[in-house]
Amino acid sequence: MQIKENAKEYDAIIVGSGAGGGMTARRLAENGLNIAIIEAGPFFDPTDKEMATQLRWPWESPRRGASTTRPFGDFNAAFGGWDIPGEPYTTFPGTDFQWFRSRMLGGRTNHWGRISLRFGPDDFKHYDKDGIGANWPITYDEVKPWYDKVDKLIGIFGTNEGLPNDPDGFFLPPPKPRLHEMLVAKHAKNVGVPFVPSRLSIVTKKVNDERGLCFYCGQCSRSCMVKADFSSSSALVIPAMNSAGHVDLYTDSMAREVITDSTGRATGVSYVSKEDRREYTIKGKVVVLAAGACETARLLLNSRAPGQEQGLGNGSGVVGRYLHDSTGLNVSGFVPSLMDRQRYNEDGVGGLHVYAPWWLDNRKLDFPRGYHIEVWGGLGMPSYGFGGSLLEMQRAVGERVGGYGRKMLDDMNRYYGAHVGMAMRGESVAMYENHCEIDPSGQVDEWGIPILRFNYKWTDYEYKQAQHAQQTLRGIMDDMGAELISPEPGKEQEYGLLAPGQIIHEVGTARMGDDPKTSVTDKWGKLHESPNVFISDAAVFSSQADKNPTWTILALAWRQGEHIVEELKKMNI
Amino acid sequence: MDRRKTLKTILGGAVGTAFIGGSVGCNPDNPAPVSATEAETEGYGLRTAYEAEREEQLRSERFFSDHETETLVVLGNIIIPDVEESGFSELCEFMAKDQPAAHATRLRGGLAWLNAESSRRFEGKPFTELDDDQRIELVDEIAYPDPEAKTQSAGVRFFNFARYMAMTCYYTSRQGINDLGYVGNQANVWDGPPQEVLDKHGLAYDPKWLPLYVDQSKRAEQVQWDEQGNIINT
Ligand SMILES: Cc1cc2nc3c(=O)[nH]c(=O)nc-3n(C[C@H](O)[C@H](O)[C@H](O)COP(=O)(O)OP(=O)(O)OC[C@H]3O[C@@H](n4cnc5c(N)ncnc54)[C@H](O)[C@@H]3O)c2cc1C
Ligand code: SF4
Repeated sequence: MQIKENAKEYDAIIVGSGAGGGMTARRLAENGLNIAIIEAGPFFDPTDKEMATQLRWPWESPRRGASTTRPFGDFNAAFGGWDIPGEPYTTFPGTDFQWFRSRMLGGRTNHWGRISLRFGPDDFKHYDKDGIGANWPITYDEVKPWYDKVDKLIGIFGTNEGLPNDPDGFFLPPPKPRLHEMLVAKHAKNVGVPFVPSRLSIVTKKVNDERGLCFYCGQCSRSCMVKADFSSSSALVIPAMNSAGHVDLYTDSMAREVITDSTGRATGVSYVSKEDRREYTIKGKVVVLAAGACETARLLLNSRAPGQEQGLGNGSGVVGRYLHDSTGLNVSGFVPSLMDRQRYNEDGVGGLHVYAPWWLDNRKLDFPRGYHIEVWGGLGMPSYGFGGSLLEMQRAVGERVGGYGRKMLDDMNRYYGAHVGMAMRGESVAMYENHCEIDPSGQVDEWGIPILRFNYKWTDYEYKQAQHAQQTLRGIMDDMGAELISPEPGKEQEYGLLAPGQIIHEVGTARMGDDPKTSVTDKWGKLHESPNVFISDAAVFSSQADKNPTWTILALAWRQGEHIVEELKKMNI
Repeated sequence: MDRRKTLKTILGGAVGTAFIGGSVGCNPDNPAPVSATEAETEGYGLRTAYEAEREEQLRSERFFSDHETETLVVLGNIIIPDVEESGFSELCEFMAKDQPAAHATRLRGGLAWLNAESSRRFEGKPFTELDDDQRIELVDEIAYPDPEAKTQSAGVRFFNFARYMAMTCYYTSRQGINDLGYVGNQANVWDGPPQEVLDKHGLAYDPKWLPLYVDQSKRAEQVQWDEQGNIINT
């Protein structure tokens, strides 16, 4: 196949336009650089009315919002999901890893949960605390100024609680809690679990001139047309394109590999255009990989440099290793005291208004890492499947089960808003054995790019944490008088733990560290083995936390962006 | 370059442009490819090319026979009065093609069971030819599953699924949403549950946070913080 070369040399080429790529792009462009963004999906702008799914009604979809082609429903703003036609991945026997990808400008930030949690001081040095996993080569104090900047640019609501490992920030005022959230918080307190206002990147009060104000439609997963939620497309990439620098956006372009010279220095990136299925190369002084943790590992493993036959930057052999996702499990139930609710608009923001950050000390427990608790419920908009638990609810309150006609509708109307759930989201321990690699069978995707194979098993660390969470969540439910939907899962059901990948917080596949023998990048996210290849997504995470990863991706990308600008100025790259 | 055109190509299912040059505005050096075939959106927001083509294909097929559809209409209207006005048979038809594994045989087989049962009991008549009393007689036997039972008859199983489809259809339609009393999906300002609701449930705001919640009358004023991140103009 003919490779088409483009003579222009960019200051930097960024692969991927999600949280990491979007932030790096904006930092570099605002510093006047000339950059290219290679993005596998199409252009997407949530403010475009024709694109928007926000404020549409369920009947506008022929499947009434069912999740046939979009895992989180027909109005969800994700172009992609666990399975993308033509882009398979495989697993080792016994592994059930789920890989969620979104192919579009802004990546998964168009429809993510907006739960925006800083990592705390302990999270960067967990190995020092318990001898498990790895320390980061940086401290909370080094990242704090960048978190502060992200807070102020993007906007996040929350409250300063002075908690030791859930740092304060520059928060916008939080919205008042919903009814079921107040109920859960009250009963959680009874059993010793403190809930606090949640921390979501949604603009509840004017943060700057760029962004709109939330009008409480509860639909951030559809991406907000007034830019009141954080999406990398509307909040980072499009502003970058309007900034001092020059941004060329290559959409529908699937990066294949990083091109290097004989010394391992990157000279460009090759990609397959989805339009004509041909391969192209563009040149750049710096290459930034931000395709999402697993995809970034795939790019490195599919790239070669002299002396780097096991993949670019993979002298340590840990590219793809230490893959870890958050743990997760859900418990839900029917709360009789929430029957016969008065109706009012309870949409609120597109996420929970309260949550419980990790409140215990792992030194006193039989598992090493913590979890936080999320909550859901309320008078939400119906979608495909609404009323599916009618029979269970009738049974729970002693009604005759089944039926039809007006009586059945009256029952359903009485139960509306009485279904409440909680989710545990925890930290797992990064394991060498849990990894992704290039599938050795030679299988490629429809763009001709070798695909990934995953190996991932939970360990006792996660199983014990899950048992603890089951008891805690069920304890809160019991205190509320809830009828639980399903009995407590035992060992055979892995204590209800969801499959790895399902929480969509996969990190760690090119971890940072001081020692090139055990890590892939330095503390700036630059490959140890190449002077000008950087990673600005969660691949560099030395460890997860009991927090969601995106706010940390953004802070590190901002920090890295300024570093790249300085190094270019100093002619160090 | 006309970005709307680019967008339309994506909407229409053709492959979108691979290049959007320079700033968001016009860039004469890098025009969008003109091969774009423009098409109307389906009316529920941006679809990918894959989704748009798939849907067009589904719409060109027909799954249920006329008689099956007729039976669905009659049965649906028993489960929820006038649910056909909310698009019941059309939804069943679409879902049978859209998610065949979950819907196609369940619905088709269930309808066949219903007609066989009806015919066995009522002199060879299909369900649609029964009178109202006969229909209700049959329905009443399958509409009330025994929650303690370890086994389930074909009729009960089918009716459970037909009920599920009717509930989904109704409550995702304007009629059902009005009946339910869902009043959201519009711009508004959230300021907590109404006081009488809090009173009824014996709940009150925690005094620690009450002063910190957003003051909705001042939300358009730019936030200001002190150096510790405390808001000085709540
Ligand atoms: C439903 C959902 C809810 C979530 N909720 C939360 C939450 O509440 N809080 C939180 O912190 N996180 C949450 N996340 C996770 C969050 O979305 C991710 O952490 C974040 O988007 C990661 O950013 P990224 O830049 O690494 O990757 P992405 O956002 O995935 O962006 C990667 C981009 O790279 C592109 N790309 C991939 N491969 C290539 C290639 N070969 N060539 C060119 N381009 C490529 C993709 O198309 C994509 O646009 C959630 C995710 C989902 C899906
Ligand atoms: S809840 Fe607020 S931020 Fe989210 S989509 Fe609706 S208006 Fe936008």
